[in-house]
Amino acid sequence: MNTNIIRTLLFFVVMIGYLLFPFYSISSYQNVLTDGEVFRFRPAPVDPYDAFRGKYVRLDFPQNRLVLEKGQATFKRDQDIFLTLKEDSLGYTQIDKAFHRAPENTPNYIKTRTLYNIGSSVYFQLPFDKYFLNEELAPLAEKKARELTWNRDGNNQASIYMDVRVKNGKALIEELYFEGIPIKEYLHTNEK
Amino acid sequence: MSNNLKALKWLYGELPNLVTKGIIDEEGAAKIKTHYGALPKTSTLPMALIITGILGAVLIGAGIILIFGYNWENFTLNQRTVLSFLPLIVAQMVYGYTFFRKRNDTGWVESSSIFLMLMLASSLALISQTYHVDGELEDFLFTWILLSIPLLYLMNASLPAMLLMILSTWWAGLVVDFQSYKPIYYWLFFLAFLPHLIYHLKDRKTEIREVLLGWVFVVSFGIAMIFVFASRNIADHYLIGIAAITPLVYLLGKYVHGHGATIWQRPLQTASIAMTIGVSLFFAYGIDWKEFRLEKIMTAYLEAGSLGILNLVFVIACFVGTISLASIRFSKKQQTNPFLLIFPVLVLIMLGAGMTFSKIAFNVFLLGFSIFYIKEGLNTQKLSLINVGMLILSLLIGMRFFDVSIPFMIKGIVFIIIGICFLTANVYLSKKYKSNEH
Repeated sequence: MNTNIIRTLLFFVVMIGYLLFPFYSISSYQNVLTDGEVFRFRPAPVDPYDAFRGKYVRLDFPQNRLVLEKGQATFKRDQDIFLTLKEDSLGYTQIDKAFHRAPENTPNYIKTRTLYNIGSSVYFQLPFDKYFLNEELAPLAEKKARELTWNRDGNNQASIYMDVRVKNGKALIEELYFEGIPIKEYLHTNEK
Repeated sequence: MSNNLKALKWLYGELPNLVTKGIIDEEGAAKIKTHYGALPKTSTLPMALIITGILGAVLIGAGIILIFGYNWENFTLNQRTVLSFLPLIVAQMVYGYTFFRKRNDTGWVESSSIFLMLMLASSLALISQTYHVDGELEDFLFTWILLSIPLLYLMNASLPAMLLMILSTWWAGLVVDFQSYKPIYYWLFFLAFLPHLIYHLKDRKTEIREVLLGWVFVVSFGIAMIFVFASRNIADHYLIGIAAITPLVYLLGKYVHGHGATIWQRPLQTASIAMTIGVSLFFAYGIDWKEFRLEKIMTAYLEAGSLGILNLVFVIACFVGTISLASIRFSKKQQTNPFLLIFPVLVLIMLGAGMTFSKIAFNVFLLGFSIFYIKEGLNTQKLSLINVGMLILSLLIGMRFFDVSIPFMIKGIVFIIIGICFLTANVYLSKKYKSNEH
């Protein structure tokens, strides 16, 4: 009898835990999306296939590395790294500095892990490098992205950019824009 | 076990026949029945129901993952978030129904548990897709494994246990890296499924569960150990792992399976014996393993810090477990294959002594091992044992015959001496056989 009550109690604890876990991740994502500061990144997309999660557009960032100046902290591979951000003259985001611990004076930093070092540069993966679309839209997006990248004149305003919300180390994609239009809308108006 | 059962069933089936033919009387038949006892209630589990139930649950689960994973673009963020919970909630309702109403129905228990486990993964994946959160597969698996552990114990479902073992090995394989020690965390997953494993392997109500669980365990565990001990340098670590684990798995098998009818019905013993023979052949071949030095291994462990110590603790625990299980068996005078216990000792000596010793020692070891099997086979009239012995022996002979590092003279003399030994044994046995006949 007693073991039965414990078992039933455990059953409810586990079931509620199963609901709370995704709920917790969702609310923390929502928190970043509503309260986080917007940063505009300029990516260059490519498109691999992820069988487990459908399809997505993979985004490569030129901001995935930082040349460490003398006197700055050094990093080993596969280590936590905290990156502060700054805007360049065109209004796009660049990585400012890298730290071993979370900076205390600003919530606008990204936490990720280092990949490797080359010389004085440290390479890392930015935690927002996949934009999920379905299997029909993803190849289309890739095709359009290639076209837009070809047509782009180096000094003009970039035709592809992504808005990312950043708060206390977390960074989430808000929207991906092609020629200033949100990607899904763009793909529907420019089909084929 | 199951062989006896079969024999008993056959005997009980024959009894009425024997009575009508007058070979035994009613009283005799009744006496026989009381002597052997009633047939144990064979769990007449409708196996077809269980199998179809499980397959249905798995296929529906996979289908839901595919349909929801399509990433329907017309839904808003909030709608999608709600949709991510839907499969999970449905699976929880099925699971809850089973928990309160069908807890003794194996089909329901296994299907609803595996379904919930799959839907848990589906929800996690859908949420990260919705928010474009790019998690690494290994982190995803880690979360999934941790969340699934209660499913092994709430209703003792074995299908989630098997999936969990496979996922743990997959995880260890993903994080393996010659510069990190992360796969060592596999031991934590191991601790999580070990109670389930021991409980069910000892409980022989459904043989299929026992055998499947055993095989999934030995195969996934064996592969995982490669990753765990390859954390830094495969040469250094793997050998000590084999020495620690192989005999323990054998003794555990003896403990849980006892004397299973066929080699398929005692996966733990079969796997550890195969491992022992395979590794011994490797060292008997005589590859230069300068790398295998005890002091090197110890420094590697110390370098690894707390994770290295965790691994070392497990290795020591395995040795302690082997020694205690073995001494229990010996004190009870239970039949145990001594070569499985000599093997780790040889490996450990070899780590200190080097190549020449290991080559000679493992050749002698295998020779002894094969003779042991042939002798056992002859004693128990089991052809399969004789075959295993002959197989080891012929591999050994073949290997040494083509070994160019031993001078022909010595090779020839040793071959002839061993040949004479076998002929002497042959003469002795045939005399004994004839004297038994008379």
